[in-house]
This record gives sequence, structure tokens and C-alpha cells, in this order.
Amino acid sequence: MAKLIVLKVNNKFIGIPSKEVMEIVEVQDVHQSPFSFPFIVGTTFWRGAILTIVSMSYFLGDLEESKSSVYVRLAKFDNLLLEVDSVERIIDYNELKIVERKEEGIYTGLYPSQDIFISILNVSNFCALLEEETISVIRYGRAGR
Amino acid sequence: MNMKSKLALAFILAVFIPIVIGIFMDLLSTFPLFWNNLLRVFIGLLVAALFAIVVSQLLTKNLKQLAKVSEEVAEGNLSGEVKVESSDEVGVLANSLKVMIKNLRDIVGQVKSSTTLITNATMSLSTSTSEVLAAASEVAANVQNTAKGTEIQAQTVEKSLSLSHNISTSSATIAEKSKETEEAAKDADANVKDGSKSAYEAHKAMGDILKNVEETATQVDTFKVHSLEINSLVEAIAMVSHQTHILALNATIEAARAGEAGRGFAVVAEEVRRLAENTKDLAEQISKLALEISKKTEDVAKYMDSTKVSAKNGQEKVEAVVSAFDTIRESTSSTRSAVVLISDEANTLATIASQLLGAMEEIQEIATENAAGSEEVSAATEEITASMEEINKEAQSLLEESNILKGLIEKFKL
Repeated sequence: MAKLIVLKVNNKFIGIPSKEVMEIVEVQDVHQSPFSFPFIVGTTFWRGAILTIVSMSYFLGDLEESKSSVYVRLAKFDNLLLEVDSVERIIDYNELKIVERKEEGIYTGLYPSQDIFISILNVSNFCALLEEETISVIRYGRAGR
Repeated sequence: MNMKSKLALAFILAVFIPIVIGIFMDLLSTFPLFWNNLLRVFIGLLVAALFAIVVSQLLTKNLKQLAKVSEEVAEGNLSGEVKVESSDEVGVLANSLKVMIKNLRDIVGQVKSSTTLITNATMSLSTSTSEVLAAASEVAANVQNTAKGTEIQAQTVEKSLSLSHNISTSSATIAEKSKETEEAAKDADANVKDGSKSAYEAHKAMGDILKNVEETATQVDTFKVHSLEINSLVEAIAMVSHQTHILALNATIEAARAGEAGRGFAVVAEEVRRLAENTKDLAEQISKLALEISKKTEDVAKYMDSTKVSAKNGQEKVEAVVSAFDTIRESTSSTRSAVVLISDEANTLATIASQLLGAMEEIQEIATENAAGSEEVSAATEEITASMEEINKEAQSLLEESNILKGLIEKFKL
């Protein structure tokens, strides 16, 4: 049975299907990059690879700097780590229960679990958004948001 | 002119005058009778008158001189001299007058001398009486002052007697209280000795307490270090638990990715995750407890430090108390000796006060007698002053009389 990894970012519950996640990483040594992209927290060295840490809270509309050390390494983009506040739990996941489903945007829909609704992250759209933001910064010298 | 001269003169006149008359008669015989007779009568009367005048002059000359001297004597002039040398009655009178004048001169001279002496003596007497009167007045004033002083002395002595009564009573009370104080000092000395012994024991006990407190502080410090070590270990456990939790999450993710084949592994991973969470919870609880223990240990350490300071202060205080007790013991001993001396002195003072009381009573009697005597002396002095005033008055009168007498005597010329 599929699993949904429930994260917490800026007091919001974000869900990522387990098939989209390579692993949960916790690192202490984050090297910040001055004059870098505003959504880039820094880089870290993990199991022989240099990974870029992206702030999820940036894309959720919160510009406050996070002090978390828990990151989610995506399966498709394994050179990226998404910075989250915490990994809350891993629950059983049934795609048919997703409500308010939509194809565009970074969210697939809402998934009810117990007494809360979890926003299901559309990893492909999120990464596309990330690429757009990167290009925008490169082209126009500033983020598109 | 002595008698012989007078007789010679009378003889000459008796001889010469008839001759002159004879000659003149012969001359007259040439005149008529009437005129001759008339002229003879006239010449006879003239001769008789001349004769009478000459004789009377011869007879009254000495008497006149005597009268003149007598008049001078009558006027007080005793310096005149009687120059009549005659052996007749006038000469006898002149001699008598001469003797009288001489005697008067002697008497008046003596009286004058005496009057001068009397005047001088009276003046001296008056001066002396005035001085004596002034002195008597001063004496009277002094005697009055003395009488007042004696009265004040008597009153003062009475007050002193009252005070002496009080002193005597107080001295007896002091002697009694001194005895009681001596007993109290004795008890205080014994109590101070007990207190000093207790203070020494307290000092020793405080030393033990301080030692124990220091030992406990050392143990608490060790405990604090252990507590910190526990905290560190708990943090390490929490870290391991956290990592185990992450590992369990990753295992779950891997199991999910494995699909049906990973179902068993997923169960194990879930159990591991739960264990990790439980461990994390326990570690957090232990951490909280360790933190609490650490805080409490710090508090205990602070209390121990405070207790250590207090114990040290207490030890110093007890040391001060011991020292104070030593001082107090010395002072009490000195006080006790002093109180014994005071008691003896108080007894002596009571005896002296009793004797003083007797002496003051005697002084009071004497002062009373003195007061009465002073009053009598004052009265006698007043009488003396009055008598001296009378004497002075009499001396003044005498001086005045003496001056009058002197004035009278001064009229005589010697």
C-alpha cells in the first residue's frame, strides 16, 4: 500500500507520496551561498554528493528564514533537498481519497487524514516552478514571484 | 619821780614862790589900792591853783599809771608792766597789782595751754568716736550679716542633715543592693562559665557542620557534574533516537517503494519508528528530569554555597561569641571583684554616713546656738553703736565748748 509522508512547513501540513521521496535527510553542516537564488538555502555534502537545499517555505509564501535541519531528498531530483520544519508521520495513502483535485499548480489536492487536511505536493509542477524561478532570476536578475 | 624829787620840788616852790610873790607885791604897791587888792587876790588864787595843780599832779601820776595798767588787764592785756616805784600806799598797790598781773599771766597761760590740750584731746576724741562709730556700724553690719549667715548656715545644716539622713538611708540600701549584686554577679559568673562552655561546644559543632557542608558541597558539585553528564548522555540518546526515527522513516519509505515485498519490512520499520519515538519521548522525559535535576542541583549547590557561607558566618559568629564569652567572663570576674569591693565600700559608706549624720546633728545644735549668739551679739552691737553715737554727740559738744573756751582765752595777751 502506498504511503504518504506528512511534512510540516510553516504550520502547514504538506504531503508527498513515498514514491516521490528518496529519503529523509538530517544534516547539520549547511554551507550558505552569498548572492545566490533567494530560494536556495545553501549546499551540503551528503553521502559523496553535493546537494542543493531549497526552501519550501519560500514557495509557500513565507519569507522567514527556517532553522530546520530536516530535509526531504526527492527521488526524481536527487540533487535537491527540500527544507521542511519536520517530518510528522507516514500514513497510508489512497489517491482516490484526494479532494479538490487539480492538474495545475504545485498542489494535487487535499487529502483528509483524521482531523486535518494535508496538501498533496505535485512534485513535477514544483520542480517546474523551481526551474522557472531559476530562469527568471538568471534572465531578469530577480525571482518571478 | 620819786618822793625825794617831789619834796625837793615842793621845797623849791615854797621858797621861790614867796620870793616871786614879794617881788610882785613890791611891784603892785605902785598901783592904786583897789587894783592892788584885786590883783593880790588874783595872784593869790592863781598861786593856790598852780600849787594845787602841781600837788595833785604829783599825787595822781602813779595812780593814773596803775589805772591804765588795770584797764589793760581788764581788757585782757596782761603784757603791761607796772612802773611805779614807791613805798607809800600807791607803791604797795602797784606791787600788789604787779603780783596780781603776774599770777594772772601764769594762770591764763596755764589755762590757755590746758585749753589747747583739751581742744586737741576733744578733737581726737571726736575723731576717734567718729571712727569708732563707723567701725561700730561696720561691726554691726558685719554682725548682722554674720547673724544672717548663721541663720542660713543653720538652715543649710538642717538641709544637710536631711540629706545626710537620705545618704544614710541610701547607703544602707546600696550596701544591701551591693550584697544582692554580689550574689547576682556570682550567679552571672557561673552562667557565663556555662555559656562559655556551650559556646565552645557550639564552635566545635559549627566546625563539624562547616566541614560536613563543605563535604556535601563537594558531593553536590560531583552530583552536578554527573547530572550534566547524564544530560549529555540523554542528549546523545535523543540524537540517536532522532536518527533512529529518521532511519525508521527512511525504512518505511523504502518498504513502501518495495511494494508488496516490503510489507514485512514496513511493519518492522514502523515498529522501529515507534520505538524510536518512544525512545525519543523517554529521552525527552529523562532530559527534562535531568534538566530539572540539574537545576535543582544548581539550586542545591547555591543553597550549599549559601549554607557554606552561613556556616562560615555562623562559625565566625560563634567564634565571636566564644571570644565575647571570654571577655564577658573576664569582665564578670572583674565585675564580681569590683562588686565585692563596692559592697565593702558601701558598708563603710553606710557607717560613715551614720557617723556623718551624728556629726551633722551636732553641727545643727552648734549652728542653732551660733544663730542665737549672733542675734545677741547683733543686739549688743546695736546698743554699742547707739552708745557710741551718744559719746560722739557729747564729744562734739565738748569740742564746741572747748573752742569757745579757746576763743575766750585767746583774748588774753601774755
